[in-house]
Amino acid sequence: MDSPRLSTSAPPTRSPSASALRILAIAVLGKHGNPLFLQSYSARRGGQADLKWQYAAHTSLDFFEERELPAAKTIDSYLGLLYAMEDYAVYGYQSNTRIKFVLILALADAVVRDIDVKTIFRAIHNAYISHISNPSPPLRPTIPPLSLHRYGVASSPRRWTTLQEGLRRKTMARRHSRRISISKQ
Amino acid sequence: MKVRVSYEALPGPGDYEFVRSDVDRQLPLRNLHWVRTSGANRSIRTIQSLPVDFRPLHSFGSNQGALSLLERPYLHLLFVVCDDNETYRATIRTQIREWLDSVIARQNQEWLIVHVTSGRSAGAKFYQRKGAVVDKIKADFNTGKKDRCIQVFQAASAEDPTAWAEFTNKVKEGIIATFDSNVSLYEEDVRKADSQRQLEGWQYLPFFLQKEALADSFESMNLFDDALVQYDELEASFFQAMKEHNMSSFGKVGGLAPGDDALPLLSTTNKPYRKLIQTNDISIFDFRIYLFARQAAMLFHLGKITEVAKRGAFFISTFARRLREDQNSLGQNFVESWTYSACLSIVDDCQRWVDGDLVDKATAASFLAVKAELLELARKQLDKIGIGAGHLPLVHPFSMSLNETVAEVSSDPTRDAKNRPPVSRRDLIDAVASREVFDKLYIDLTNRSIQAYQGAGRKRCSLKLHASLAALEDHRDRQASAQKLYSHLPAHYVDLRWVKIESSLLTQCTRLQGTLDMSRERLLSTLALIRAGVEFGSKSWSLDAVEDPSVHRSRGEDMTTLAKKLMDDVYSLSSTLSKDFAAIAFPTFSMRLASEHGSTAADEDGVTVPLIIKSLLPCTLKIDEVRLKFATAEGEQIWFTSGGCTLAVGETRVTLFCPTAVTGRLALELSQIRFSRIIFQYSHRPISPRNLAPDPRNAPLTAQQPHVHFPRDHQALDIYTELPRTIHLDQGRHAIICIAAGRNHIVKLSFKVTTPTADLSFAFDSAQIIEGAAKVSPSAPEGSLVMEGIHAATIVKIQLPVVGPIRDASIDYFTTKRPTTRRIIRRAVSYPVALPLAVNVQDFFREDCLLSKFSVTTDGLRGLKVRSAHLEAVAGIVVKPCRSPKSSTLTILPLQTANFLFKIVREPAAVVDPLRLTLTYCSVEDQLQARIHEAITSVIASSDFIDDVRWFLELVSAEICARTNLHEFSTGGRFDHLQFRQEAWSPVVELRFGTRAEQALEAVRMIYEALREGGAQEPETAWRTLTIPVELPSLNILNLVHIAASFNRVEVGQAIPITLSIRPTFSWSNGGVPDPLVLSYDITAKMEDWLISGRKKGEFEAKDGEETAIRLTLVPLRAGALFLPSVAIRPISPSRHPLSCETQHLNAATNIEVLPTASQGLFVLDLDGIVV
Repeated sequence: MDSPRLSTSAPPTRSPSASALRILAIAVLGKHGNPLFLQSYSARRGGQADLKWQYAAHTSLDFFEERELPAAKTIDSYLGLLYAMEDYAVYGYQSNTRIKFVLILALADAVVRDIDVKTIFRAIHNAYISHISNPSPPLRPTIPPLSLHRYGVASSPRRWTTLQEGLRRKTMARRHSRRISISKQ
Repeated sequence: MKVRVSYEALPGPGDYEFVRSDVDRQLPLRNLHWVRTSGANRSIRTIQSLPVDFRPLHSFGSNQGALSLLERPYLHLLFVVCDDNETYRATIRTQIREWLDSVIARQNQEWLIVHVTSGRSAGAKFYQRKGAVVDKIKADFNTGKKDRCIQVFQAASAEDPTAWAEFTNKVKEGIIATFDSNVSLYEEDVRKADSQRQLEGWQYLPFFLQKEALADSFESMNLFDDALVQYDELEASFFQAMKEHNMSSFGKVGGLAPGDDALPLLSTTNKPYRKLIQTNDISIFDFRIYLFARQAAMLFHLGKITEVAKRGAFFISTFARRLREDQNSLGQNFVESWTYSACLSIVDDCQRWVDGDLVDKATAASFLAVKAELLELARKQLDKIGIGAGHLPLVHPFSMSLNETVAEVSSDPTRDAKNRPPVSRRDLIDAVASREVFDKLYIDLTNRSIQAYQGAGRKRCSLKLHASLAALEDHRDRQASAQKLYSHLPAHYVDLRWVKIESSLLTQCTRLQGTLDMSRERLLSTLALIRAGVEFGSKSWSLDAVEDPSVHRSRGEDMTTLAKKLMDDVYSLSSTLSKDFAAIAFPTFSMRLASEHGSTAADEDGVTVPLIIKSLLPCTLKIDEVRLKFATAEGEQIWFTSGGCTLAVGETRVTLFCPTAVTGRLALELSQIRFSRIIFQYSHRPISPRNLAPDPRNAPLTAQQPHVHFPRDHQALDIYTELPRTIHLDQGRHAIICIAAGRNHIVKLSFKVTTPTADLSFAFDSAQIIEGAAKVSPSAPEGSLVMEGIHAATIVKIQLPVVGPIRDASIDYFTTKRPTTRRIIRRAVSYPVALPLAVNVQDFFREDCLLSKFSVTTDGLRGLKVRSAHLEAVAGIVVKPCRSPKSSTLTILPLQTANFLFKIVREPAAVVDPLRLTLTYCSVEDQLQARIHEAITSVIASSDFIDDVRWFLELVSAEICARTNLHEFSTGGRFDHLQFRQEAWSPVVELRFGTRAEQALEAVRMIYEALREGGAQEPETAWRTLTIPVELPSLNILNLVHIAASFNRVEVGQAIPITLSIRPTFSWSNGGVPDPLVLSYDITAKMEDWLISGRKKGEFEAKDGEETAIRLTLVPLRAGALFLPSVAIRPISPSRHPLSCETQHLNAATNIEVLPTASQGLFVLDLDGIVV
């Protein structure tokens, strides 16, 4: 795919304060709060290192619950920053079927714009929808990481802009193809 | 900083004292309304309350230009205490002028002249009004539209709050006006500074100062919202500037001053921040802290405590990350120490607000949650410090606190270590030095945090902290308490299947329970750990959360050894259990039937069923036993078992055996795997619809209950009942139980019968073997029959005295093959109690003989064949049948009746036994069956299918019976309609015999042939005999009646004299006829036939054999052959028991021929003579 090009597009030197959203982990939780998918994109991965994100996703359920309360209830799927804990920030998103998406970003000393986080969530949601719409899922559930890879979120730390670019390219391509199909009719 | 107002009093400064109390009473000002006069946002702002700082004018100094706008007075007040026009004109006016000049010289400052009068004491206002000083002042100094001169009455405000209303209004107006113009000025400055942002050499700090001035003035007016907006904008522009300008103006990160790490975060007075900013000498560290402290101050003013804490947590986290980027210049543990103290400082400050102020409950609750977050953040610092100081190991729960992102710059730790400020926080220094202090600090903080989380209802967050407490206990070698702490935790993660966390906790549990020798707990934990290894999505087993990633091994191999070890643990631990332990729906295994068809065992009774066990474990596993429970349609439970076997990774095929030859469709109910004393048990019943959300782990693989079909084993032991061939109605009844041994050489057999009602009994002790060879064991328990040594392929028939219907029969038996296995066969058998026929008898007494008519009827459903009816003669009796013994078999269709007549002659005075009627009969069905069986056995006997004779008997006869119309058969008794259809038989035969199908098919065809050609030969086996005892009937009185007519040819109306003679006889009586006996007679005749003249009714004394004659006259009434009248005779003597009495007309068939009258008489009626 186009991943080599994307990796070269990242500037070779980065100033320490340059805002780069780094995804540390993504979790998809079921309606009742059961984990459906959890993948760590952190440098330390596998085995006990993943437990940190397991705990982070599990504790985020407390925050989802609090947002469910009538006082705090919103109609927006995006729940914003749930909590920050020193080196990571946990963002929440809940679909209308109450599937919860948890995004764990590396905390940066910079302003994180909600619109950026929302875009990531929408990408995750789309990946999730395409996964569950697949009537013949693969034997091993590898879809979410694969399709996220296409959006530029990969195991190696990569710049957020690549994710955005990937998204934009995808939506443009889709629009184009739709136009062609209409003209055929 | 408060809003300032200057005042001056005339004539002298001391005159202010007159109004001081009045003025103070107006403060603080209330309800100020500010609408921006410039700018787009013209919304109205209301200031509820505003404290004002009143100061004498001279206190501001002469050079006000040095002061900031905020420090300058917002309003100048001049109090004139003078009621005298002259004085005013002479001195005051000029003094006012001077004051006014000095005030107006300063721009953007409002002024107000207040004339103070002692008011009402000065007499009537009306007359003084014109020449009042206030009017003069107004005339002299008011310029423009605005009225800047007002009058107040001294000390009036004490009584009347409205008296000074004008004063307060004017003061408010003035302050707002000045404030408004100040804001415009500041905003202009800010805009100017902001617009130069892109220019080279633009500095952030001057911009900050200008903006902060604006914020300050908002703050001074109690407009904290607006002030906060300014600071938020400043923060945003700081990040912007950082990004764009790289902030060369901030020379250093800072945080190097001693004690910097332990500063109270929310204080703006730690350092002279403003001065540092003005001199452009502030470090990023100080600046960020100052900025945040100001934001927090505004939020505190607004009462948003939670917001402070929330922003604080975020700020600390983000800024700590920023600090860590400059780790090199900072001291060891500086960031941790700073984070720690900042968190605690925020918590303390906020707590003070929450405790002190009347904060509403919702805020307090939400603060509690954020407080917990802050405490946890502080606790994480302890983790890191502890790891650094060697108090804590670098393992899982503690290592979670290590930071993710910053690639640690490994710098030389000794380099300029002296320049780095040491950690100055006392408790941290102590904690680093001493492990006990550290532990105490750690546990206290964790507990505080847990408490706060629990108070806020964040259960999961507090669980996470519990785990780290447990880990600390464990690390400190306090295993007992660590185990106690750990053991409560995994249960919280089970329900929602957070298996990774669960398994990591369970690993600790099992290890600790192992060292503490808690084998039962350890077993449960190990089982739970194995269960937690099952992944639900991929249905695979792995425990990578337990794994230490530092150890590099091939993952698959690692998992295999781990699984092997865990299962071995389970095996050895459970072997010590005293009772079996059922692990229900354990997800590592699943079982399904490999086929829907079971098969019979080749050389013994019993059936086998193949099963596929799927094991998710990555290791092979030796199991002790597999068991399946099936249920028959009647609800009987059948168990299948297999011995120990080894489960491979993935699917393993196991064959299970049941020593009972069951037949039919069985539903699988339960499956079990025995593993030492653990039984992994799975239910295969369909899910109850009531359970709406079943655990997917427990759900069976298919929604339907699996079924297996077992073919009938025709060589297995079988049991059935038969009716005895001979039935004596007057003797005890018997049932014949037939036990077909099939292929088995039976060593010992125990037989029991259960009946539906308790009032039935079986005389087992008088059981009799009537066919076959078997030894009846005398030592049988009550209610059962034990037999020994029955050979294969024999049928043993036992005759059992029985009363009532049999429900089912069960047999335990032991065969020579597997002599130890007890096999049980339970079969519901029916035993008919009703006979297929009914017999009625009618007796006709004559003087010398008795005629008995036996009517045989069917049961209304089945046709019947009667070969013979025989009435057995006894001594003193001669019986003569009406039917010839050679006559052929009689067929009675269901609705027909057959009569058998016998003439019985008794020798006089003989005492006789009852007679016996013996009927030889069979039902048409039985006959059909018997003929088919006959044909089959004769054909099979000459073939090599002798072992399978039961198969032929069952299938072929069922087929032929189905094809035969019973009605036609009962009349014809032939099998002409039978057609051998090869295409119908060949699949059936092939299924059973496989390679021998050809011969078997031929055998079937021959059976058909034999039946078609077999003709009418009747097998003897079908005929049954029924013996009915018949008592010889008795009659007390038999009257022989004879009517003698004088002539038997008369005309109508001609009288006939007759003689009625009655002769009673007591010959059929067994005594009991009283003496004397009086009988009555009554002649009855048809009214239209006869006219009777004479003694129609009468009585007479009866003597055996003596004739009584009565004379009568009969007159026939119509022509024709008329029968003589009949006579009814009854005994009228009183008797203890009723006497039986019958009358026989000796000439009942005699008739009298009556002719019509020869002479005719004609009568004419004259109809006209009748008067109407």
